[in-house]
Amino acid sequence: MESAQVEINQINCDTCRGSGWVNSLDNACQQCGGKGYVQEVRGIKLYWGEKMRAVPPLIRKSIRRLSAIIEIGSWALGLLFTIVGGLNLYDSLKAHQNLKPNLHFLFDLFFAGWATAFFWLGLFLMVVVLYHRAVFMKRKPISLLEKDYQYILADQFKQKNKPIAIDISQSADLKTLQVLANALDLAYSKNQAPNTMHLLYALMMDSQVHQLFQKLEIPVNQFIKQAGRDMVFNQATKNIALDGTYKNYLFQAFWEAVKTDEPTIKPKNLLFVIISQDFFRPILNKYTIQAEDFHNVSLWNKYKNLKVTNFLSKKSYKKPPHHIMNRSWSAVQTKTLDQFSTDLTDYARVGWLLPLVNRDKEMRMLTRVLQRSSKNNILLIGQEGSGRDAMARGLARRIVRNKVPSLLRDKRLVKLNVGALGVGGGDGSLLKARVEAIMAELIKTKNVIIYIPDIHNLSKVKSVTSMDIISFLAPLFSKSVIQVIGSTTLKGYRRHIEPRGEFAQTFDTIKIQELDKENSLKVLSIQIPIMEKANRVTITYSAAEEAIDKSRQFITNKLLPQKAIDVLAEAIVRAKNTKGKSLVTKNEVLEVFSEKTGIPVTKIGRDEAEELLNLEREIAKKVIGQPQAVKNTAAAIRRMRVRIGESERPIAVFMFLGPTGVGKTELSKALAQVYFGSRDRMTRIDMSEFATPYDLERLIGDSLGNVKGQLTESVRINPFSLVLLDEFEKAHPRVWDLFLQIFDDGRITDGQGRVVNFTNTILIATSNVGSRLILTTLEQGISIDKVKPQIKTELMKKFRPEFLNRFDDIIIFNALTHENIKQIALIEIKQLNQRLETEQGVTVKLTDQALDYLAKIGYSPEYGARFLKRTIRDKVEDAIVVGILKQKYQRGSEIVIDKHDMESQNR
Amino acid sequence: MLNAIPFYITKISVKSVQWLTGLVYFWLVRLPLGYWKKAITANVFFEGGWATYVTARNLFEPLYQDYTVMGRVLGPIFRIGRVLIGIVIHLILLILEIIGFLLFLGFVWLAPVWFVVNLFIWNQ
Repeated sequence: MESAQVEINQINCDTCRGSGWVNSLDNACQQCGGKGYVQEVRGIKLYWGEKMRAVPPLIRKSIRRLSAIIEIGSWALGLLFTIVGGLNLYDSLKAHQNLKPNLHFLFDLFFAGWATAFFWLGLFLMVVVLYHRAVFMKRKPISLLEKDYQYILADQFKQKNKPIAIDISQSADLKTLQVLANALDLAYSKNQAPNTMHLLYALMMDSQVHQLFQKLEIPVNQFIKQAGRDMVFNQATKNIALDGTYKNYLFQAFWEAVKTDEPTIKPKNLLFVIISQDFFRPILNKYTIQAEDFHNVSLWNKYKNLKVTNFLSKKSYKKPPHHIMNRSWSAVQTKTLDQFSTDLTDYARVGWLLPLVNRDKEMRMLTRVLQRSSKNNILLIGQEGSGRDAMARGLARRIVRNKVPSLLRDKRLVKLNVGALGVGGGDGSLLKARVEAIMAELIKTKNVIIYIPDIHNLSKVKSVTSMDIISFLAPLFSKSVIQVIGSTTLKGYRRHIEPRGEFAQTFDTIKIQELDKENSLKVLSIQIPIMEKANRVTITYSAAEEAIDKSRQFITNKLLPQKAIDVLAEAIVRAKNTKGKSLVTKNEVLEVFSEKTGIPVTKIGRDEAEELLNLEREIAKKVIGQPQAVKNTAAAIRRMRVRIGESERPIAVFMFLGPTGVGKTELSKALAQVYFGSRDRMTRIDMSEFATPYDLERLIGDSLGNVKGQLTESVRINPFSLVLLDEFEKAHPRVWDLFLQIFDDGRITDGQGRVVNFTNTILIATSNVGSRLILTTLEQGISIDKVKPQIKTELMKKFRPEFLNRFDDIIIFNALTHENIKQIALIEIKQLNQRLETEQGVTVKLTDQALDYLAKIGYSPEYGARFLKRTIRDKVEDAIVVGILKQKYQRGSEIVIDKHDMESQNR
Repeated sequence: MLNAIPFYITKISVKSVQWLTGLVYFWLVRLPLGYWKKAITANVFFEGGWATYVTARNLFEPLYQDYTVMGRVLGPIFRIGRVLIGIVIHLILLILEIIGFLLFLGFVWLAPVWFVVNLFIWNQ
């Protein structure tokens, strides 16, 4: 069904402004024939037939009270008549001999006389009140799922025999009508023309809509205030009616309901329409919420009171009843199988299985293969947590509900507990005997589809006769006498199943992919009510969304939605046990991530945009004399992060060029601190140690796990870090090729076949290529920019162009000036002072001459500022240490060091 | 002529007629039909477990895949027994439902008739 292909014409009557009436409700507008606002679709006129107008609140209240009084009065009267008449009837029947039921008795019962007429009147009255309440007054909207509506958008539309006009108000929920009436009354009481604000306010009074706002952590009053701030309120006209503007909203809500397969137009449909108006976008943005989020939250209520929610939230280990006989007495009892398996259809029958989300395509393939006469076994291939088990559960639900082709009806779907099979038999012979018994039962009973999770594990088991289980099973499976659904991982399939050709051949494969964010949210909308009930907490929508977003970013070894569910489970524990509260919000989720990843919560929670904007300033505080390098690095990182969609790459890949001691490592450390929250979040690998192709193993580990990969292990343990590849040019070209893949895909497979994710790392390769040139330039006093092309040429000689292209930026560091060294020295002295003050209670101050002298002897063009620290230790720290030992300085004193103090240290 | 009558009188009249016709339809048609709709669910529920119809359809299928001669002989015997028991239970249910329907007719459906009739019978 696609409404986009259908053209919709709107007609709004000018005379009645879309209300359909003039002056009074019974006076239909002559111009439009009382329809007011019409949408014409494929020649059919859709209109809102329910005419409404504002009524003074007092009158509406009075009418409601009066009808309630009449109804309660009728009930009371009916009951009174029945009791009084019943007593009279009993009195008159008492005259009957022993109250024996015979023909006379019956006659006396129904023709007892006028005094008992009250009894019949009372009964009659009560049924009439029931009719009035449950039939006449009950609004029974025409379902939008009925053919009358569905054909409007159907592809095979035929005008023949179809109505030419449809009243869509017949499909509106009673609550929607109440919302509209409330909105009109509100406008009336304020003497304003009805506008969107009145409708929004009336919607907020609806309990379901109110709940949506609560779940989204939006304070209702504040929201209304903000929404109403810029709204223009016009003076009320004579008649406050349901006009074209409101009807337009109602039609949008109608299409929305049709498209989302809702049976009626509900207040929430109206809310989605209003919230989606451009007018509300800035207000929603303030709460970082999109109109789409209201849709997702509304799903939560849907799953709140399901039987499965109640069952699973009780954490019960109760087993559903299992019927040995099937309905047609055709199946055989399966004793051994029942001992080592779980009957999923039993669980589905009592409603203890969760619904399946967004696997229609896979389910179609599954049922199609199972119907075949040959090769009708299925292998579900997917990572752990991708939803292979959920597929089996989904099939069980369908079988029980008869939503499967006739061949699969009345079948049992049984999950084999492979782990339990081998218990008690050390050599595997017992396992083989059990498997044989199970297979014999399956062959005989014919009505069982067996689900074997992680089927590749079977291949690892060998019996004493050295024949493994798979060799035994393969011929059985190939003959199609048993129907099997197996599940495996891609690795398990490659290693254990694919090499066994005869076994692999018996299966058709279905790949189960990870769910995307949208569908993960749907799964969460099923899971969260269970978690809420089980733990007696409330989980907000933003907590769920954050759990998905952040787990996508930070947890790379698990799949959605499982990883988000795990995080939420931890957040619940945190909220309940640590904070003692029953509301789980975004903050608890962020704290969990902080604990898991080791990144401070302020870092995780902070707006990344803000962080990126301040990046440059923060780094510049720590790195002296390299403004260009700092600028380029910050700019490259910004570029990379803003480029949405290319998340399958490291955060940034840089090459730092320049002589020794100019701040390449310092910049890397500063970057680690600013971006990952700590200077320790840096792994430094000396690439000169990997000069031969055989050293590759030390980098990624060997297949047996004896040698741990220096690179892969550090990133596996600490995926949010900076990797500094020192002296990159000295590594072997085969090692470079390895990095080519990391730079490109953001992932690599280690020696043991595990995928290591680099998408949360910053990779920096440093090189001394062109250092000589830089030094010469410096000596000659030429600007470094002039020799950059020459440096690039030298680089090209060393590395292949496709390799250099993988770097986000190649940054050339300046040689440091004397002034820079002085600044660095000052930073170092400042750090020394902090240490001295806490430990000895003294501070140190250098005179200008002393600082000048320090910068002079602490720097060399060849080694840069590398020896500055050592010089400070030799010249400054030593002098102070001697002074402290001689008790020359008292606590609280300031030690002033002059140039000659340092010179004397030479002697 | 119609325009001279106030709107609310027309509306109340139309609503009253709707209410009355609705009541007549409810009393005569929907109540008895509603009773049978509810009553028949007992049979459907029983059939869901006992499967009389499915058993009758597989009358000559041996029980529990026992394709021996004995199995083939015993199958129809047991199945016929099951079908017969099923039919009897269905009939018992039906009789109970009919009794219930008669009670419904006597005490609810005909209540207005009894009211009118008893009104004119003078008590002794």
